[in-house]
Amino acid sequence: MSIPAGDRAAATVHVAVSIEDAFEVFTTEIDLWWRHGRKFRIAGKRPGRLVFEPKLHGRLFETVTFDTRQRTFEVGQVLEWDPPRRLVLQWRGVNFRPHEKTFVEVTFKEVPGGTMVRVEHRGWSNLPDDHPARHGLQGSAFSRMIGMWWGELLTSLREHAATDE
Amino acid sequence: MLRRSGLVEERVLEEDARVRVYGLRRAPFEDLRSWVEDVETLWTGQLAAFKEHAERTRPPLDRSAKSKKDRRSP
Repeated sequence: MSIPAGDRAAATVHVAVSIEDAFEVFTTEIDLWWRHGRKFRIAGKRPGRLVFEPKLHGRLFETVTFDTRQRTFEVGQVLEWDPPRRLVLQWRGVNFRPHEKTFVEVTFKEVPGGTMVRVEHRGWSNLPDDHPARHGLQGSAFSRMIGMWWGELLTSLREHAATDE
Repeated sequence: MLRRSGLVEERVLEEDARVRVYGLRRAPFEDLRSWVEDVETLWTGQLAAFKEHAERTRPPLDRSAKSKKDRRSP
């Protein structure tokens, strides 16, 4: 059995606003629409904010307030910046190893009645050849790839990986 | 080798320790598929939230298409 084309995940949405507005909302207003909760934000229920620096090499980071101290977690970095049509982010979860990277490409296309926004999240082909995720047979490696999102999934995959090993 | 790869699992029958039963494990294949499915589900949810916020805070395209200048005015 060959490894499925599991390197990329894609999602698309039609939004009834102009391409300029769609791009602006997606980037500079990310904190206003990005879902809340432990599954989606490092902050969980603590006070925190997602910040997208709208420029090439800009960062996407989350600030979280623990008691009185504020900490910053970098999630992404802008690798390509072509407003209002396209951007590419390097995406790293907080629990990634240094060499583990994924990439998120967001494209905006003018269509009748609005803008089509497509997100493609590419993953493990960027990992070294000897990385277990490349062989697709162990859960732990790719469970780390999305990092901040994997509340429940991380746990189940870790358990699964532990029983494999 | 198949056993090391995690593709098959080995079971020893209680009744007869000499017998090894091998079965295909579904989990590794399902993990591969589930990575993509889960990422797509999560992004679909985020994009729905994005759409809701964008359409609530920005003018509908039809109106903005007529005059970009006008849509900025209250």
